[in-house]
Amino acid sequence: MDIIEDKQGAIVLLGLVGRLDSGTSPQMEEKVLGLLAGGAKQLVVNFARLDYISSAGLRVLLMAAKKLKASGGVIALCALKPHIREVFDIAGFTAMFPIHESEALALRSLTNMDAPWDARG
Amino acid sequence: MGMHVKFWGVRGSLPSPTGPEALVTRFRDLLHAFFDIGYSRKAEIEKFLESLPPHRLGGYGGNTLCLEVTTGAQQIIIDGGSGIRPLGYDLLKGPCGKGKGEVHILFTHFHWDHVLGLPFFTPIFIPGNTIHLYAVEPDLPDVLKTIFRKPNFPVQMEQLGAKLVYHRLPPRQPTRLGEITVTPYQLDHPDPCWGYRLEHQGKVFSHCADTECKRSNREDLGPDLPMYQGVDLMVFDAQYSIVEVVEKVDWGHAAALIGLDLAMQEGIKKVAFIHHEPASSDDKIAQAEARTREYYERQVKTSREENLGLHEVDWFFAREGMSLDV
Ligand SMILES: [Zn+2]
Ligand SMILES: [Zn+2]
Repeated sequence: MDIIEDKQGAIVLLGLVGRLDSGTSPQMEEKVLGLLAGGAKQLVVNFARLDYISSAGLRVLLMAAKKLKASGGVIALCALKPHIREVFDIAGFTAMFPIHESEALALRSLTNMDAPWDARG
Repeated sequence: MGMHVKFWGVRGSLPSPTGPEALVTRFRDLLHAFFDIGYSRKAEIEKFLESLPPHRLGGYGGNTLCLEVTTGAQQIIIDGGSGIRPLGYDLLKGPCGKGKGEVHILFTHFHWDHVLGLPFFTPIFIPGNTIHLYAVEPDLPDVLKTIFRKPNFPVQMEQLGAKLVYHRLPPRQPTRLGEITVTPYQLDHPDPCWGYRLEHQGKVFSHCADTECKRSNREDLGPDLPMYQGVDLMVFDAQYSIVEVVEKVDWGHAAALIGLDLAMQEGIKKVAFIHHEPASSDDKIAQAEARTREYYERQVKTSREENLGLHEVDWFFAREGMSLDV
């Protein structure tokens, strides 16, 4: 898996390419922990080029969301392929993340937030 | 004859009998269903019962962990949860009832749900029987002393009729037990817990409970990887949902999805999910099983479409009393 990192103001963009599974989730965990240590508070993960996610991938995403939340940050996901979205639905993850159709919508949702996480209710 | 596995207890943490209220609700639902279908005669009862999914009748069972592995000449029990009590009664029909029994019990670890049935394992009180007790961790004799001790239990360890023989198993090294080869590998659980790989006539049975399975790729599993490779039947810890696994970090239990992914990755032929959550009703466990089915089917389809090379796996949520050949 490749992780393509970009920045838009204070928002960090991560584009996932390939498979997020038990083999690659440590790489994702390391990336997120590094960003958190660097003070990142807003994270958008773009799934447009992700082909497969397993339970290990789900685990690392939820862990990242928990850690971000604990430090007052927020995560938003976008552009999930239908079969990935289906895995989120089955695992009960759809309700646990803000999920947007496109990167533009995800970015807009974060830019318009005052108190990012709590404002969602 | 190959290995045969019987599930005497599949519940985690605490024995969980279905309560009177839940039973009344179940009987009422079943009676309604019987007449709703259009049945009305006694002769139709069997046909009706056979048409129901097992969880709507007997359920998954409330006894805690105890499995029995047998071959033609060897019997091995894994863990002494409350499921070992009915197994003990069963053994009394053979040499154990005459004080001529030889019993082998492997312990994964010593949490209550894996040892609390021992004081009710009748063969242990009968003079002439020999009970071989195996564990990787050295505190097995102390654990037995603690279980059979006043004021918690009236019979002291020294007063037990059967002869107890302790065996310490070397980690990650094969030990021969009759015609079965046993190799312990470490699982991810608070207080060390060991899985067992059992081999007999080229078939492999792998006992993976209790485990959080924090390590799930080959590199992280390292020396414990053989637990998951070349396996015909694996039992795996499915106490939580995947969301709960993240909420309960270091509680030591996994979700079915994690075991399934591991099996699809390593080509494990069959998986039986055990260690069901004690707070879950039979309906709730059946729902988790149905969601796991959706997940499995989705991932198999994706694997075909994206050429991921994942293996197809035969799997089920185990119920107390089930048995199968490896
Ligand atoms: Zn347990
Ligand atoms: Zn345990």
